[in-house]
Amino acid sequence: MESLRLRHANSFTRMAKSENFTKQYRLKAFFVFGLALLILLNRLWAHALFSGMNHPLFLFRENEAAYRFFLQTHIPQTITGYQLLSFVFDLLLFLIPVLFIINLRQSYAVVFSFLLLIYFFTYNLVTGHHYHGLVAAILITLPFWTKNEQRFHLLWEAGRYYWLYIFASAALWKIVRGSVFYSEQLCHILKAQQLHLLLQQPHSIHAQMVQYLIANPAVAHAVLIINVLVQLSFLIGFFTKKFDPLLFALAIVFCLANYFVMNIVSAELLILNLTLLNWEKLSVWVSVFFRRIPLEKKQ
Amino acid sequence: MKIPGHLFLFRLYNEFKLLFVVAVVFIMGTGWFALHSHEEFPFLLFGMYSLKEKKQAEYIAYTIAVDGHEIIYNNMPDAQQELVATTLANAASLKTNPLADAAFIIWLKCYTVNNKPLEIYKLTCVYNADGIPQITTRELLYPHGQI
Repeated sequence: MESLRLRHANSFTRMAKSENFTKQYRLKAFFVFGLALLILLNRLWAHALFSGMNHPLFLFRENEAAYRFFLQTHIPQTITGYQLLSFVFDLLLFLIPVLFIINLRQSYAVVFSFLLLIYFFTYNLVTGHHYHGLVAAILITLPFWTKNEQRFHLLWEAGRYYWLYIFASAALWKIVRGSVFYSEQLCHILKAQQLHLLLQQPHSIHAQMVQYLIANPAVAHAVLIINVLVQLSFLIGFFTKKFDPLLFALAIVFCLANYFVMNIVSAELLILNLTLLNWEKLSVWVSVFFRRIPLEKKQ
Repeated sequence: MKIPGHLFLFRLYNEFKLLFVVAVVFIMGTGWFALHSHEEFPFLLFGMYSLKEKKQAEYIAYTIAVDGHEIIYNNMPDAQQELVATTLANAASLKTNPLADAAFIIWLKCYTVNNKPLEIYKLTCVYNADGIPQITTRELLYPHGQI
């Protein structure tokens, strides 16, 4: 009798657990694929999706094996070589995540990851610069390749570690290479990085701030040191999750500062910041919020 | 030596062998390429301007004029700015092969101006003590109608 009661209790716990997982899975899918859609919308507006990159593409020669291999497949040349095909691929980039949010079919997540990967390579081949921002969007779609609870959580956690690695390694590189101790480092970076801004819009507030940092290397150096400390603080995430809310905020502050000081857009990387959120709390809040709506309407 | 059971890699080894192998290959690959300061996808290195930036005597900028009006890069959405400005800077610095130059100009004209008159300038600048860039030379790289 006792064992029967225990078995009953266990199966109830399992059911509650799996119900909780389904809720979280749906919520995460909504945020991840929703944010990916926003990234793509921004790129569509910038004429930087497949159909916007023009026909035929101008492609740089590549040193990296993966890029050379991708060029050999003729995928970027074929997609962008035919206007209709490039429109179809753009359409798929928007359609697939919407379909995934609606019915959570794993195959959509797999297709979307590969579509993003193809776009990532194509865009980087056209600019001749290996922009890393989109890697975050590709990586965070990988957990959705499975619906197995344990595997999903492990893949999600792997994404969190990758997010920590991005920041922590950026700080360690600067320390190991000694650039953080070089007092004129940021000042010289800004001279090269913000030249267009200073030439084309010298009277803007943004340009005035950059100009001040260039003229005052000591202040610029202090900004660099703060930046490295912020990046270094992500190391703590490898040992505990206690500071994840703080790291979540720091990542946003870093991306904003990076944009205003360096004119570097790292906002697309921020999609990985979702891995630092407490999804148990978030799913409770969301369910409370949605339970409240009909009550308020009745009143 | 006892390995703590809560370590992520240990959990992967126990619960998800395939991801464990991927993670180990990734960590080793990234470490190897980091040691050689060389990047190969997917072993991405996030240095974020970690190389020492030495003082340059001159700084180079490339500008585009369409129909006589200079394109203000900051007015473009960021992804487009990257697509135009970075591609231009990379193409101009590789300016060795006339055929590649022609292909690039055709692409740029289609992308930016739909065949309106296009000029590309190379600006050489020096900074004064107040952090203001002064243009020392302005070289016309691609006059309209050349290609």
